[in-house]
Amino acid sequence: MIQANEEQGQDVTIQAAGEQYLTFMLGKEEYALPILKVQEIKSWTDVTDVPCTPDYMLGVLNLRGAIVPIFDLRRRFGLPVREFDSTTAVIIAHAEKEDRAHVAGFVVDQVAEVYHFENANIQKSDDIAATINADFISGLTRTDEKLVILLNLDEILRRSLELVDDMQREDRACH
Amino acid sequence: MDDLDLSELRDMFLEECRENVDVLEAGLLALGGDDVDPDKLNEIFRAAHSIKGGGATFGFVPLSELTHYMETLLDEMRSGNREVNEPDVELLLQSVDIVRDMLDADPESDHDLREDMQKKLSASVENGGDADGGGADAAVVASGSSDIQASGGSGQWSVTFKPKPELMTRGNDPLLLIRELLRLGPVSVEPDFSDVPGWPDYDPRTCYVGWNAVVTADVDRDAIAEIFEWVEFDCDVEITQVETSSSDATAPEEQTAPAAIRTPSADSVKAPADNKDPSENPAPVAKKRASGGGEGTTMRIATDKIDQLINLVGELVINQSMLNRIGSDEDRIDVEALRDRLDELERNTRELQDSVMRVRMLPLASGFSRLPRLVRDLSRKLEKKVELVVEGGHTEIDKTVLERMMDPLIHLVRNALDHGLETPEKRAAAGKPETGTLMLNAYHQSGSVIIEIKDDGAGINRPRVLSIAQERGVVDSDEELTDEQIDRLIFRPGFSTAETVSDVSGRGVGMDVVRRNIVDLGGRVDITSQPGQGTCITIALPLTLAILDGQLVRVGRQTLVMPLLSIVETVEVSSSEAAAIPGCDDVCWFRGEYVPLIDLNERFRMGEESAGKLAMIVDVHGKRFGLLIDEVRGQQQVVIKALEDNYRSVPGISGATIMSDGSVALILDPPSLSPSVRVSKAA
Repeated sequence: MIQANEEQGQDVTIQAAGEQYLTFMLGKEEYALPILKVQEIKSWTDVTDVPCTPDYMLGVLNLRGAIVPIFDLRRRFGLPVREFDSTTAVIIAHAEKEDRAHVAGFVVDQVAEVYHFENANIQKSDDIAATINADFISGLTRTDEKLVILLNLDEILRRSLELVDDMQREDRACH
Repeated sequence: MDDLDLSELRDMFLEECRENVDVLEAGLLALGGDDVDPDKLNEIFRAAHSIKGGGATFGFVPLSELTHYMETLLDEMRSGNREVNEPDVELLLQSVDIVRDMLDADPESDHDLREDMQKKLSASVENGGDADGGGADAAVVASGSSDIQASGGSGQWSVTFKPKPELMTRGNDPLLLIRELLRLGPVSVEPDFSDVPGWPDYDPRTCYVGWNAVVTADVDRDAIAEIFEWVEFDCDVEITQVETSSSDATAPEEQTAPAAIRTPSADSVKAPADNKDPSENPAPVAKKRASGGGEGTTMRIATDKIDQLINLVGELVINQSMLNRIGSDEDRIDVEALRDRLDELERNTRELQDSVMRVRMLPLASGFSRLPRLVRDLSRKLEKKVELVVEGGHTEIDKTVLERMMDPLIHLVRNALDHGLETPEKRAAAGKPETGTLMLNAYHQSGSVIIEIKDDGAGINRPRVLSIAQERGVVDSDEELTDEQIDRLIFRPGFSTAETVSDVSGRGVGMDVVRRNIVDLGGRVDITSQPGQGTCITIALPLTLAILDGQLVRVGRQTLVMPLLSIVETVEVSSSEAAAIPGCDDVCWFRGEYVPLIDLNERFRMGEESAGKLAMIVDVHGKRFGLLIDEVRGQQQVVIKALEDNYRSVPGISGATIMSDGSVALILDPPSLSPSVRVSKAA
């Protein structure tokens, strides 16, 4: 499915200032990540628990010799938890933190499409209230008559590492 | 692109400079003896010269100026115009220190002591040496203390430059040399085609042309000779002065002319960096790296190590294709052949792992090389005579281990000099040779690197050590101790035998910290001593930090790795031995004391009912506590991977490793697991 759409995406790249995005589903909502940030997509496999981490941090995974943390985006966004099934996917992506690239995995319900969004069509999300933290959203756009939420991956990663600190500070049991 | 290359070159140059500084220092220290080896002198001179030349190329003007002065002094020694004497060597060593400081701080900046040192060096050149060669040169250097190439030379120089046929095959371009000449001033050049053969014999790779040039510039002979220095052996150069009417008339320009020589090269280097977006200027990056000091990010690797890796990978590829062939046979799989290949694969993999580990290994000599200087300076300060003997410098050890063991090692060497070896008078009185011996010996032994630091000093003064230990409450006054136990007291916290706090050693932290540093590296340290005969301190270090001897344990569903070195033993906990104290960790009676128990399942909130009946007693810097686990599994060497690479550090966990089935197992970190509540020792 992704492959087929990639071709379509490449056609439009030439057209205007914009970027290609990989979209995925969480519930009925469609979210998008810049495709250049995505390294690969895996199906869900068991991970190793890491103690004293928040519930959205599922654990770590061996990705060809690198130890990679896996975050559950549903829990991270405060959405109701859903059983993992055959469509559940882990998007392995790069994110920057303190000028250093981290690799992390994000569990999503289902990978959807690859689109090209023009910058002009992306609406900034400053004044949109959402269940998920507004800092995680970099913008909104519309395609095929539906809403697509563009995510700010760097911020998600940064906050995911930070929040562990907050939680651990409150949580004496982990010390 | 150019900018990037340049900053890389710059880093390479700095790296090379550090090596040259080491060569300089080692060479100067070796000069001590009576007959001076001219090869050695040449080597020192070349090292100074490379720093000077490179420094000027990269625009590190203060650096190249200082090394120029050093070079002048060294040249005097080299040419036999002056004797190699102690004060000069001392002066040069001090200059080496300044050069090193400049390299470590910021090669472009100046050093407070530089001008001073230059004056001293030039004064030394002026005073020493004999009249004809030395005197003239000294005057030159003294007159232009702020300028390295001020000279009495003037007017016109005639240069006859005749390259040897093979000049171009060595990668030199005669035109570039002539272009260099042009920088000095107006030049008229006439080519000499007399040796060019006819077309049938013409070889385009050979240089047949010679040049006669007349340079009009107020520079001295050396400035011109320097241009041809790189091709010294590939050409014949003749430089003669053309008579001019007056050399005094040009005197005011003398200061500026040489400056003009240097600045173009410096500017051409700097210019691209300046054009670049300021936020991405490579200079600050290089500076940051340089100030990182010893723990640099690059290392030099012997070519044979890389060749071996390439060989092994080649083998691996061959093996893989053979396995492929066996697997693609659809009718029948040749089990025999398959098994052979798998054996081969296993062997290959293991060798490959060893070789890759070896890439990170450095010979201890690269760390030991700092010691002769230290010993020399210290023995002077302490007015003791010491001979340092180093053996086994070729023994290899992981780069990180090497870097982190140097401080403890230096501390031990200082200690041996300060406390171990006696003054010449005392030694003579004891019937020993006045010069003490400090011996460093390194070798491999059963997967560890052993370093012995042996002195033939007074040995440990046991009655004094014991009385101090009792005085400071390190041991109880009624405790009976064997000699060995007394010797080891010096490693206890809060123990220092130095009567006066000197700047050499004895700040009250001493050996305790040394021991702790070595233990943190996964090593051990021990001491043996014979009164009147000397002391020997033995350090055992692991070959590498990347691999850990681990004990696999199960807690709940999860397999965890415990560093084998921290485990004292594992005991079954029966309800009669364990006791709960409200508000505290549970405790357990273990070999005469209560040790706190930590339930890993609860601590790590794995949320599972555990039957934790086993307590793994661990020792962290002398503190013991128990970790409740469910099962002890096998022992295994594991490769340590950092969680911080992609995630962050987690309390209680020092890292992760990948198990044979590809899953991740976490490695426990005993120090951060240790309980905050310490149950005091019972009776």
